Amino acid sequence: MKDVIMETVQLNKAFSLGETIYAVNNVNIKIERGSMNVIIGPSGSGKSTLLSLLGGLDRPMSGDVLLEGQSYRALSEDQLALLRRRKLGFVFQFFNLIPHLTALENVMLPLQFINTPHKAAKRRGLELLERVGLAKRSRHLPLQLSGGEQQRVAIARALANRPAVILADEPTGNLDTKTRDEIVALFQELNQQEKQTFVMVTHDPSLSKFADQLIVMQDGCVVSP
Amino acid sequence: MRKLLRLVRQSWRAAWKIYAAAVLLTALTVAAYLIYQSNMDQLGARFSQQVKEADLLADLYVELPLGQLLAEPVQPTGSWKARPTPQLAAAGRSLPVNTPYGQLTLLAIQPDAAYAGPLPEPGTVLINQVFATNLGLPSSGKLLLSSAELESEVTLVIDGSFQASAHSGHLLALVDGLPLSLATSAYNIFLYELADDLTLKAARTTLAHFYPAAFVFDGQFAQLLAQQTLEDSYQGFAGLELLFFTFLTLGLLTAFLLAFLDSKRELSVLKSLGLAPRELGTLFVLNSLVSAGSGLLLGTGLAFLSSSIMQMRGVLLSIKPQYLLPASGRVGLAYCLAVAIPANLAWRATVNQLLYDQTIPLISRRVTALRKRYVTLEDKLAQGWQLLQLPVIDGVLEGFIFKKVGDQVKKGEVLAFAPSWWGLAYTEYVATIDGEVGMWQESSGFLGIKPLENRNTPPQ
Repeated sequence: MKDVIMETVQLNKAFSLGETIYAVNNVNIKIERGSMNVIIGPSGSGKSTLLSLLGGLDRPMSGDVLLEGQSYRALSEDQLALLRRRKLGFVFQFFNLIPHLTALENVMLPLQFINTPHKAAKRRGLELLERVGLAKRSRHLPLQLSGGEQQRVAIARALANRPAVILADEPTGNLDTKTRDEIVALFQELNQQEKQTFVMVTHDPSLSKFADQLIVMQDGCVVSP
Repeated sequence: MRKLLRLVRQSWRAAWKIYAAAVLLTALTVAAYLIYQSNMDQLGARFSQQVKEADLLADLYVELPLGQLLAEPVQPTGSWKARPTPQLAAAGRSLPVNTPYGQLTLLAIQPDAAYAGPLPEPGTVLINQVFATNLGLPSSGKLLLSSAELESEVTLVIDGSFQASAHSGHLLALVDGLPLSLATSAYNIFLYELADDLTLKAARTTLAHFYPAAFVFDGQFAQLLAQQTLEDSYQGFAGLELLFFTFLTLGLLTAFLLAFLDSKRELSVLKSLGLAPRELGTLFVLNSLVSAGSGLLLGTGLAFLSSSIMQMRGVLLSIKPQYLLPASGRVGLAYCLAVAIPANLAWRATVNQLLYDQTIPLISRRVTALRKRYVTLEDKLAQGWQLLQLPVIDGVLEGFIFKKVGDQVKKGEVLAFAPSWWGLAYTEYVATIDGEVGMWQESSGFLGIKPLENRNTPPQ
């Protein structure tokens, strides 16, 4: 029996832009532990909205998300935040590093949230930066790093709390080809060596080809699988 | 708590200019409040003292209406000017005196045996040149009085030195020691010092003859005037104080809103990493506490420094530490008011709203039932329908509905929403039962959810 780590149950999210638009319409998907899942689809098909719902960053109009059996619907905002803190990691297209914190401080941030002692957090931060090849850049501010380096820091930050699932929204969308390949290789490595579960939204076919599960979306609905 | 303190430090690193502005604004307000309040306190104490002095010094005030004022300042006569203020060593009374002007009641004093001061000789009448002119009397020499009694005892009792009012050029008679604030007020006031056993009535009568349209006050007027001035000042201060703290609140609100707008992306990151809304609220409170505390400390320091500088320059001003507590209370209130809106926005906002600059409602609520009872809908309610009324103006829905008649609905599902107050308020209409949309009337805004078990039973 497959180990499902995350699933959605008839998930709905609609917006009103003059008329009602279902960005996510009755979506039922299952994410297996340790798998690489890629969500693709044309612009406006609801990929990012689905990712936001999976991450508990937004509330659905109806339906539910289950992470390791825990229903989001039953959780208050504070409880949902705790769940994000302990079980989810995020990687954004525009990196979203905190500009006045160094690379190391950015990576240590999620560890602060779970009250990791400073020394242990620093050790873990440095270890992660080394893992993504940026040990020597730990004291640099995000503005002193290239796009690819910033994304590596963001990935290290996402890994900090050993999350059950990493959700990535267009992680290579803002990178040049060479850097994109490096980041893709890093994702693959983390997935294959450390059995890290990924759910990624992308337009990038180079990521799609490594997917264990390819989720194709159109007009808010999952059309494949 | 330690992690939140770290976050406070990080927020200050991120937006230190804005927080520095908030601290400075707080400090200046606190300093201004302490200086002003302490100064008013001292002024009040001085005024009280002056009121007492004025009460002792002055028995009578004459306020002249404008039409009665003299065109030019009048110089006192030589003998008048040279004569010192009579002491209260003379008995006195009022006397009727015949003059070409008619019978006047004059005030008289009679030096007692022990008196050795330079009062005029008995029978001498000192008269102000103004009076003399008004009365048609000679300004010097002996005045013929009808009463033989006066030959031995009478002195016209009017005392003081004369000068022109700086405001109006009108004549003022000042008693030494008269509070400057009264003497230089806009009132055109003459003060006369009388022997204490002369009747006020007599004095009033006399002066009324000299200045027919004058309004004569007794000594209490000085006190009233001083009290009034003091009260006016304090009332003014109440308004000023309100202005100070309103200004502070608005300034802080602007600063915190700017800090919030500036840190939206950062807040979205923190939220996505798991910062809970409650912790976010605490973060805002801690930021405010640090800012308010620094502002209070700096403001108090500034107030004491200003006081020292003023004292070095000869201005007596001592800061009263007892005003620190009210200052802290007012600063606290200003911070509570100012931080409420940005904290509420940060607390409510979703990560996407913060990240993609979407409108964040200040107020949101969930509606699950009708507010009023409608007779025509009673039968549906009896069948277990859930009924909602959406806002409709002139037959047009003021919001958005996600469902149409026949659509399936699940318990907890958001069926419609209505923004109001330019998007600052947000109402969600939520299903409380599983069922299907059985009714939607756009003209009235009624939305009805038919429960699942009644799906095949048409409403009666």
